[in-house]
Amino acid sequence: MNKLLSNKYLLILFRIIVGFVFIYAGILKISDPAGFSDAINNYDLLPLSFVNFFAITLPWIEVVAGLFLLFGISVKENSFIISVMLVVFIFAIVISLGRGLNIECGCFGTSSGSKVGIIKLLENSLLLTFSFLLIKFNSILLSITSHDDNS
Amino acid sequence: MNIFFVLFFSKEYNIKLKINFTSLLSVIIISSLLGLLINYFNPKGIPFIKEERQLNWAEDSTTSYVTNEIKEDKDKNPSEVFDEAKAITLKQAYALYNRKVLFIDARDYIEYEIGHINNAVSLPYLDFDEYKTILDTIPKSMPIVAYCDGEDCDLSILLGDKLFESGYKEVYIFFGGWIDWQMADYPVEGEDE
Repeated sequence: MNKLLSNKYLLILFRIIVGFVFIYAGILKISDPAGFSDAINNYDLLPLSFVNFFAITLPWIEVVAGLFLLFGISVKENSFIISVMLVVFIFAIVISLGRGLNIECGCFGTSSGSKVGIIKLLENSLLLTFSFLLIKFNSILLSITSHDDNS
Repeated sequence: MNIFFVLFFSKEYNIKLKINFTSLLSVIIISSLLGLLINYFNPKGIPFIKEERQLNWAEDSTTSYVTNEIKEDKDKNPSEVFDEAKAITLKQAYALYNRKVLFIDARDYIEYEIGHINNAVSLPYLDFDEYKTILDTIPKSMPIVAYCDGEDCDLSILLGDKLFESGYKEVYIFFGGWIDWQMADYPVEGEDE
């Protein structure tokens, strides 16, 4: 199983998927900061004074980590950052579902209109699995910094 | 989830996984600074600290002449021109109800079905795009009252703001909402009736 999962072509596929999803999600959020700030606020998990700080910084972390992942720069580190974000997103979705909140996810900006729900939970869990595998096995294929040693 | 913490926070694994925390932190710090900088110069940028939506309450003198009749702009007193949706009290809401002003329920359609203010129409804020065709039948110059559950819910404010942005000139937010209305024993309709 480990051998299959550490296949370099499979890993680069994971890298591309996770990278693109985060770049896309980040750009949509950056294009509507006020909408994303409202979306975070609707989760009712953060104090009002912190909401905008996250609304401003989080999408840029998503885009930068996504780009680095795509180009194979510090794959493990960027996969780690993405995993932490995904864990936070999963917690936020689970808590909102538990509280019966029927709110916009805000995952891909606010114009997509997708709601918090089981589908979002599965999407995030799948991406989290890919990120874990990238942390574990690394992926240096087609990396622009290919001098990395492969463990 | 335990596996995650064991994997990443045990010293042994950190070494084995070769995660360089310096570059990890650099990515986070540089992207955050980039975000803050760009937001500062972005015309669509947002303030660093989010401000709570301050409700502007309508004066009794404003609501006392409101009817469901469509007023031409020229008939309007300039002081009545709204710069945003205005909040109203239960008493003001009841007065508007008696003058047959249109009430819009911002909650989910299921909640609307169970019970709503008499004659109110449903426009769930969270499914706005799906239900917005109802607005085609409501002229922009008609006064509208948006409400939701009560003080714990902000759908009425969100819907009120959205209606105002979409061109409705006289939008009221009945902040006390369904809970206050029921407590006051005012006319309702729905499955529970």
